[in-house]
Amino acid sequence: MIVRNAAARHGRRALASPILRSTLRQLSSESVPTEPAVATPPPKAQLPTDHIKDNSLAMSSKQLKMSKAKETIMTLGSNSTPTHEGQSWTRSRKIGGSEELTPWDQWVEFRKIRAKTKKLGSIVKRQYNPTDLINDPPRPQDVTLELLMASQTHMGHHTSLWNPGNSRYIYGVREGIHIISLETTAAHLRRAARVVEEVARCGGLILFVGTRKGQMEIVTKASELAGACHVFTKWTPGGITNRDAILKYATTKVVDEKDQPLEDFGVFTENARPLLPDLVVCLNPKENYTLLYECGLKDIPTIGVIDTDADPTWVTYTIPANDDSLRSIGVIAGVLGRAGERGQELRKLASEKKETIPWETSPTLNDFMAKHRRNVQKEQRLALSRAKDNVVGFTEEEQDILQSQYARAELDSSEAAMLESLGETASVEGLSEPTASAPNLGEIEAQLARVKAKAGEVEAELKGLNN
Amino acid sequence: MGVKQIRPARVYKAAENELRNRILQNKPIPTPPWFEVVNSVPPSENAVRTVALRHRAPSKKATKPRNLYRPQQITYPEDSLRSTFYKDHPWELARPRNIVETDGRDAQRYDWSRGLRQRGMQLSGESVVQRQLWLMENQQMGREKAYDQARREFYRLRQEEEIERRVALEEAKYVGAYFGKSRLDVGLQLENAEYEKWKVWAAKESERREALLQESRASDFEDEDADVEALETPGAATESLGAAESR
Repeated sequence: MIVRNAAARHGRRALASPILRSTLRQLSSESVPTEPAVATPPPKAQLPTDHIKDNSLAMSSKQLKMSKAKETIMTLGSNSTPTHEGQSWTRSRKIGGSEELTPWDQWVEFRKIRAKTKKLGSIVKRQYNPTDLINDPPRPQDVTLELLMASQTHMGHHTSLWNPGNSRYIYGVREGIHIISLETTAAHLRRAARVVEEVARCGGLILFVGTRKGQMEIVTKASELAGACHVFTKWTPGGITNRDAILKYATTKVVDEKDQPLEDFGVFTENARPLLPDLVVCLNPKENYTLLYECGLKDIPTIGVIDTDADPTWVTYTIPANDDSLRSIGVIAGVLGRAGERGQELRKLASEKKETIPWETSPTLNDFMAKHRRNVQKEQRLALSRAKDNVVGFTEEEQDILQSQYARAELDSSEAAMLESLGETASVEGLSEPTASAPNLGEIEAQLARVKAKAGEVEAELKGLNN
Repeated sequence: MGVKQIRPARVYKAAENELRNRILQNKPIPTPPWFEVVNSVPPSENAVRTVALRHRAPSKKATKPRNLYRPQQITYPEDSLRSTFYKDHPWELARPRNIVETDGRDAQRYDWSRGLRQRGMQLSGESVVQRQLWLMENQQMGREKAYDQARREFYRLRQEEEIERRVALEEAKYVGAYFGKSRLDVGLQLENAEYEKWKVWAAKESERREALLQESRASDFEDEDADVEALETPGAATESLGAAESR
């Protein structure tokens, strides 16, 4: 009979009585040192209180506690016979019917066995790692119905909680919940991915919003991939419709076609209005009604994950899927993030190849640049006229000398020539390439400086001659 | 809040109108970056309500038109097999089961012609159900017969598992493993400790009661000191007894 069963059948009587040596031998792994066949008398049953009373005088409370704990440990195992002497591994013993082995021999034996059995057995691998989804999300072309089903995108809400507007996305009822059609989810997800990609390619500003608990990592990763903005805390109402007040202290920047921030726009960025997104991706539309409403007022297209209890009319592009599972949301946001990444790549490629850029600069920025250009031209004109004034101080004789020596420097630049040069600078100089104007001005200034220096020399010579 | 919206679906129309009809004649309105995109990839229709997907002909009793729009129940042939199995083996539901899927293609890799054991799948009631279905579909077995065969295979494998586990335990113990006490043993030990405590308490309590009894007796005797003295002499006792009897 198995000892465990004995305990179950006979209860405390079987366990309270001293355990048979034969039973102990079976259970225990330690070999009891060979002793005369006379069984050791079972330890006298002592009441725990008696035991404590004996030692309590000499021991502190801590020691008392320790001795108590030790006692429980000693009595816990069924093989805790009075043969305990120090740590078990310090004694030599028999293992598997062999000779008695010292601890060192045991260690050697253990190493041998370990070396032999190293390659045996199966390797336990981790099959599913949830963070893989965040670190390496699937691309739109990787989306399969199997993946969507494994990610639980098909699970809707209880049938009583449905929004009838979603009936076209629902495949059927199972175990009391609505099941969203996987084909629909896949089709809508691809469509949304296409929109995200195209908007990113056209240089639009995308905003990813997921304000539920646990969506922070998903949202930030997706927006990082798509080069977009993200919101994972509460959407401040009025962030779009009342943005001048709410985003008053938010900073903006002006970037070129390679996304490098441009200098010399300090005045503009200080006074610029806060930006509006060109596309909003909302992962939990149920909690973000205000945001979606504001987007509707400002004609911003939205993409939303619509569960069976959400209203599909709140968003422009629906993705019917489960919005309560983080895995499902991870797949959807990851796919959209990847699409955005692709769009940004295409945009940068196009700008490298100097193809036509598919976006317009905003009118306010254009105005600012035109104004700036006018100012620069005015300064140029001033500088030129100043240079002319300087040159005017020479006598005709001196001018002849200068012309004969430096024929190239056309100092007597007529009004028409000056206007022509101005036109050239204006056409070349643009704020998308602010460095282009700098060399022109510099050249002119350098020439002027050279001419001045030469004139000074000539004057000095003349003075010397006169003297 | 919670009201149907019409603006989101009409974003393109609104933007188009705005671009076409400038409010300020000399102020240019920039074309938004999404304008061409939304035109070429328009959103799907969602305002029109469609008839729900039909898996089977609707029941003739359900004549109300609203039932047209209600999604139907999804049923599979395994459902009844599964319920039968778990009704017969309710404790199979108590075994822990791994339900996480990696790529969702697990079911495609199983071959139920080879038996219940499938690579990468735990042995469970689901194996029996799938095997039974395979037998019914491919070997033209009756439901009961297929159930019996699948069940028998299942019992055999469970038995094997049990034996393997026992042998592994024995081996481990033989080379020095110690698994501690089972839950039952721990429970019994705790119970024993309680009994021991009770023993001490009972001994004390009985002592106390004994003392109380003694005390009360002594006090009784003090009150009736005279009677006690009278009782001490055997003659008087008999007399008093006789007196009591005579009364």
